[in-house]
Amino acid sequence: MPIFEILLRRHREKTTLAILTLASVSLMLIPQPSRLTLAQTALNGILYPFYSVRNYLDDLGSVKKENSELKRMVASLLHERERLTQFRDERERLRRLAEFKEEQFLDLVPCEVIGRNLDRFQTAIVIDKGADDSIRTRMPVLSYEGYVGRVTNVFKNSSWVQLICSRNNPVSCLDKRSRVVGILEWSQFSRFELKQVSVVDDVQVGDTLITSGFGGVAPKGFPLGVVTKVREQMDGVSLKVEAVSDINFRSLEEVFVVKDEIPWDRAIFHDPQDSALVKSVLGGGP
Amino acid sequence: MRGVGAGIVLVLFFLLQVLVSDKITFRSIGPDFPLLIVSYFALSNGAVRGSIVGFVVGFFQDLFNPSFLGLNALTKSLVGYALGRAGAQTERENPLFLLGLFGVTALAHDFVYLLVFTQLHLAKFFLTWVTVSIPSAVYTALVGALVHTIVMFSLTEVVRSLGKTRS
Repeated sequence: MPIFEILLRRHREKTTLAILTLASVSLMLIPQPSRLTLAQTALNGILYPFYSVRNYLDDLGSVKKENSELKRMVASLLHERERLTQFRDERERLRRLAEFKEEQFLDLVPCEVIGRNLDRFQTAIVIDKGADDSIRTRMPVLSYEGYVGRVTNVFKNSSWVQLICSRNNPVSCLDKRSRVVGILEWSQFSRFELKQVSVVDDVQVGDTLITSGFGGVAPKGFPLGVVTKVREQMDGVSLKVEAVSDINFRSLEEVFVVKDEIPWDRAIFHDPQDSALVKSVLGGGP
Repeated sequence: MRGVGAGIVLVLFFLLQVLVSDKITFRSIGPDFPLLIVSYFALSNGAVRGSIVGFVVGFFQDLFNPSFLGLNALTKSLVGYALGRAGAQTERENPLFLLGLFGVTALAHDFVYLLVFTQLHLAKFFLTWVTVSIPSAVYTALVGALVHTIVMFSLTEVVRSLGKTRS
């Protein structure tokens, strides 16, 4: 007891710092699953209501602009749907003729980003869909521009998505032009590095990198970035390839979780019976 | 009045972090408001309170990325301790002094943080420290000193005008 008294009275500042340092290091040494559980419990309880309110207020401010943009988009999509329906029928006929392999479509769950980490060096977002919406861990997540990451933790009404711009989230990818396969790893900002590419592989500046679909995490064919620099490594056998992503990971607002894949013939386009709804959206009245 | 001013500055830092931090961050370069909160608090409240607040603020940040749980808590409690110790011997009201102090603190914070974050990968460490930490430290210092100056000046004016009204 006297030792503690001496520590707390005479060396109060140093003792406090030592205790806090010890606590911080202990936190760092906690096994990953327990760390996640601790953070989930704390965050779910504390932050979810605040972020919901903040996002609601943000939404109110932008709703008018978003509404007119949506009207424009609906008109454009209706036109495009019509063309796609025709393409679908035509393709279906051709597929039967050529006995093409049945292609898959994706069952996407639109989600709003309700939180993101405060740190400048690490990247994860919180989305407003969780176990109640059949979201599961490892499900891929897309944005309008391409693949952004995967679900790492699922709660009742929210989930965490680890973005590809994280050090520990590499993605298998393909060079869209030459079909060279590599592993894309984040380096900094929106810059990435393509690993496991040898000097004989055909990778050029300007090539688009897309998800390869290998490993079953990310669906195949979604853009990841564009090659900006290619040079030979010192070892003489591999290439140092740098790529940059078009996605602004810091300002993601809506993303899509890939819940499932739907066979082509069961994919649902806009139904003509919904035209009343569409008219009301476009015309501003029922 | 100094205590009231410090309280207002702290509340402002918190509001800025919650409301506009994302909007004024460009390519990872932005002001570190949690660090400013810890620094400002530690300067006026000493090493014990400074380090505890540093730990709490850092831990709160870490909750958003449990992969490095404890890292922000560690770096910010160190910042709280160091500035708390230095607080008594500093000119806390001098904006130029605060500017330099916030800048150096931000650099030191990122130095420790990045050493652990990059797992001593020195190339990545120096690249990130030079391209992100240094501009961010300048940004953080400017915002911190500016908010402090504006609040203290406004408060002085308010008190002066109240005094005139009474007399």
